[in-house]
Amino acid sequence: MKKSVNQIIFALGVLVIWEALALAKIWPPYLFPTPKGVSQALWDGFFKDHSFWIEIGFSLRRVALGYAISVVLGVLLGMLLASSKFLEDTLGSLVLSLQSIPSTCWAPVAILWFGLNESGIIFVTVMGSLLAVTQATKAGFDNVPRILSMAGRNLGAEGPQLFAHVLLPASLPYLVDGLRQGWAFAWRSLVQGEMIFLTFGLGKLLETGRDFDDINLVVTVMVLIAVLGYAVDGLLFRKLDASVRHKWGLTAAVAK
Amino acid sequence: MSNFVLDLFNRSVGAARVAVDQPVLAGDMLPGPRTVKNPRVNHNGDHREPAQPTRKESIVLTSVFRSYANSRGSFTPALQNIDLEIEQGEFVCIVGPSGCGKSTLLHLLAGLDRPTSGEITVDEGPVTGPGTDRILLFQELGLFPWLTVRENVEFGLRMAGVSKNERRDRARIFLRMVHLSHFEDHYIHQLSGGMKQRVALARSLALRPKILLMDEPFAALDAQTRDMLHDELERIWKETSPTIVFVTHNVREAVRLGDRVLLMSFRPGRIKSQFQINLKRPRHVEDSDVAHLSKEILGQLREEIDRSFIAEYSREEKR
Repeated sequence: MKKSVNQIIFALGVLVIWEALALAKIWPPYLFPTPKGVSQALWDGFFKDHSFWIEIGFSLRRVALGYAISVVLGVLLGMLLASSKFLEDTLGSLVLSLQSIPSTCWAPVAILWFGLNESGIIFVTVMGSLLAVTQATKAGFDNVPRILSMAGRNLGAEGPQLFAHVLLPASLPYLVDGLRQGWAFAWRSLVQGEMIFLTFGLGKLLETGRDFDDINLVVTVMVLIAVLGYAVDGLLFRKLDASVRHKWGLTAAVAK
Repeated sequence: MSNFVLDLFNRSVGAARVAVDQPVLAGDMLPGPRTVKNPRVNHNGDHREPAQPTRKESIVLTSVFRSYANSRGSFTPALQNIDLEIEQGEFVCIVGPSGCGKSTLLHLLAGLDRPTSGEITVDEGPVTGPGTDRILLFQELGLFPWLTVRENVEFGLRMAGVSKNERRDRARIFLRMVHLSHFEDHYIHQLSGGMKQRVALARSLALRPKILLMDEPFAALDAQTRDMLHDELERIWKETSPTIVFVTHNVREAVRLGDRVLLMSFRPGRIKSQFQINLKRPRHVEDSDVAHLSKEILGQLREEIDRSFIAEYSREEKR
């Protein structure tokens, strides 16, 4: 309750300062967005020409597919890396070095390999988030306390059973963190990809705003990207994270 | 599982269903097969009867060695030439200075580690890996934080493919046995140290192991909780009659609980001496008999502790 009150007061404060700055006309209106201009862009996009729905639909479908691929591949890859010292030394360092490549760098590769199409955008999205998921999964399995796997074996769990009933749940706190981070990376990479591929989506809409010198549209789309990213994080991960933390007894020691 | 144990189990389930809300001890429900099989119960402090021909060896170790590669590239012997026989249903305590290989010995018996040489047999079969007939209660417990208390106790049964209902019933019996019925839906981090200890005990017992291996299980507890758990462990031992190998650094505890106390030497660990504890049960750590016997054992233990200190100091000086 107190949290939402604080948030509303904060939002109102930001709006008031923003409007005051817009009214002061320090910058020319084609450079500085106004609350009125942004609301207008929102209204038009959602209710007049409905273009926002279409673009958001495209972006969400792409990110869902790209993220799903990253999660499946990333978890498998992470498990592989955690299971063998040889793979960790070889493939592991490759993964680490690839992780320092910004996802936009994969766009030229994607265009050459797949062309300017859906597969290309999804490839960029996957490359943006896959390695984060891989790293987190590997860290999760590496950090399973030895005592837990010994206890599992001692109580009769072997092979796949040990994996499913001990190793996997034991690494869940790391895994949830990794999935969450992977989601943020996938969303960002997608928007970057769309800005290059320019076929529908919020990223393309950003570029459209720039082409028409429409600062209000640009800022509106940025707001949409932020809100959607935040909403999906809340919907998918905050509850999961909280339940894992509760069970593990990892809830913050200091009450906030 | 033998018919006897099944029968015992079925009866206890039946009885448990009748008397759900009474603070019954499972022991009241279990008929007392130990009194038939186990001469200890009627022991009166005089010398133990010679081993009866019907009693079988449960665990046999023959010239067991275990050494570990160290950072300097050579091998540190942890256990040296261990020859040991433990009878079925016997309560054996092992004391020794830290670093004497007590835990290693338990890990070997549990099949979580292999001897470098020598042979370990349990019920005449060689130990080649972990098995649910031998359950190790770890010093660090190793409870699963993502499972509730009851789910932790059910874990081994679940791995063994026991049906959900039967699992639940069995878990309840053992939770009642360790007085944790009201906490079955709690998560591990919500429990106190003594309660966690009892969950681990219930989890180990739920598989009805023939052999229970305990690695300093009560070391981290306060004296009152430890006293209580000694009583409970002794009661459970009488009721479910496993062979127990109990490692501790606390001599009083060993004398309080054991039929026999083994003293291990400092590294490399060997069995230095053995003591039959023929004191009448139930005992208490503060009993004068217990204190008297402990003193004798402690004298020998101290020599080993001194040796371990000298070894540590000389290593320090070499640096």
